[in-house]
Amino acid sequence: MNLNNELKIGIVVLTATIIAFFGFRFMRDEPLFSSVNILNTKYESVEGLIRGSSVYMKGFKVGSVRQLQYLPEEDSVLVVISITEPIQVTKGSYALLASPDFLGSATIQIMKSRNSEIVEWEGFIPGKKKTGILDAFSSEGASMADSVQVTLDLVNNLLRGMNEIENGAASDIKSTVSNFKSFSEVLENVITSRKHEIDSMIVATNTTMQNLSSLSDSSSEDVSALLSNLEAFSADLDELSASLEQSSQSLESILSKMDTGDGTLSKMLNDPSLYNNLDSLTFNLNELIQNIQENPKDYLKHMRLIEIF
Amino acid sequence: MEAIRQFGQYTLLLYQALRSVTEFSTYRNNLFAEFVKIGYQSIPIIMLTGVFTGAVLTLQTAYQLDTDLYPVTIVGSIVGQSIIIELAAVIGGLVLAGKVGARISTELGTMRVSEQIDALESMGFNSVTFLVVPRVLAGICMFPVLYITAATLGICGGVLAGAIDGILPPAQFMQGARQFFFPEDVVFGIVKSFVFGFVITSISCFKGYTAFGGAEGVGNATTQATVLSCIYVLLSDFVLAAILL
Repeated sequence: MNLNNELKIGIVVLTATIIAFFGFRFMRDEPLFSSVNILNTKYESVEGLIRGSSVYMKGFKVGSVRQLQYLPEEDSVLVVISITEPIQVTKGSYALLASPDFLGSATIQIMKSRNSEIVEWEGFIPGKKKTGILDAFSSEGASMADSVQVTLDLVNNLLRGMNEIENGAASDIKSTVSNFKSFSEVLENVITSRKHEIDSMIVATNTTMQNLSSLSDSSSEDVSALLSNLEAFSADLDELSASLEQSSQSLESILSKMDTGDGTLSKMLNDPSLYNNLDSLTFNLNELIQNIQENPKDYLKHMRLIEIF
Repeated sequence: MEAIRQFGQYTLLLYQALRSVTEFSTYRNNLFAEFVKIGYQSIPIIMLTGVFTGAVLTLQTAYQLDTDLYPVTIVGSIVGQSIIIELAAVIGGLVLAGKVGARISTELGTMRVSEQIDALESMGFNSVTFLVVPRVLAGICMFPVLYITAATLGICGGVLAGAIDGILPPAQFMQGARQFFFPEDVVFGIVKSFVFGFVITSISCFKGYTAFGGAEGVGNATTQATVLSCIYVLLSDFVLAAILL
């Protein structure tokens, strides 16, 4: 085909323009034929977020960060998000900024609310920040370093102590080891010299075990009867313990009544007047008997033996 | 001293060209012919240059970053941004300094030594308007088009090389390229290609227009035009980077 100059130029320029237009949209991660929807959000700081960072909703990529702009009067950063997927963002939703991981890439997750009202495109949703592993490290780092320091000091002391013990007790350990060695030698000698006896002992033990086994086989009925008796006995024991428990409960109630109540026994236990009376009676009786022994006449005079007999 | 004299001569030629830019009817046919020669006929070599630059850059970047410390998408970021900012414009410029620059200086040099330019002048044509202006204008207009072609095919070459060599799948390459894609970089690349278009065509026109001494003179003019074009492409690249970045 013979193309004239104008056609050639037209083809070249048109192709380049089309390539430039669609290439530009393609590189900015925008859909080639449909339009892009814009959402705005704000953060106090946007560490790790760059233009082109991915925006997800429920783990699905719905767009990317189009622009970052620092707002001096509010001391915050305006993030313009371009949404390329046909989604709807409800009112009350927020944009969660996940902090950078060790590879340094931050992402935004749109957390949808259950509201039914839809945020208009080019509208605003609030931004929240999620603490990432690096943030956690940087905030807890100082205290962690302190505790690590303390732990290391302790380990150092422990190792030093162990070293000192080792130096001091080296000879003790050595003698213990040599004693143990000689003991094991003696044991070996004993075993070697009495090997036959030990063998016969093992054989005898074996026979005994076999006898026991046959015995248990032959007398298994007896054993089972014994076991059932034991079972009945334990049931009786159960009853006994139940009645004992009942008795102890009644005894306990009696005792508590005695301790606190107004009954005779309680008063005997708690009221000291009976004791005092008895005590004074005993004293008086003592005195009386003593007086009788000392002056029997005083009493005998009145008793008039003659009248008695 | 000779260099300063030549610079003065060059400035004077540009001044004459600038003054006669408005005489569109004089150079209209020549302009379209130059559009085709500089733009349309350079597309194959620019496509080839772009694809291979992207492919080689991808392989070498992957070779240099052969560690688990970076995500593999970084290859796409480096290749994409390098091509858009620097390589598509500069390597394209150097290739075109050879292809376009040599042709222009040879054409004008031959016309000068065979006294065709003098004939034009004697017929009442302004030779600068007729010969220099369409070539420089065509260079300025067509180089951005060639830059866009080279950049697009460079990234395609990178994607292809990454996929064929098993370095990274196209999706990851593009993810990395998009992560560091800034529209200003494209503008910077287009500004560069404007400047390179002007530098290459104007130097070649000047060297051809001032050629003397028969076939040998034309040969010298062509050599000087190509070498000077390459030098000034690199020099202006540095100056633009210092000013614009």
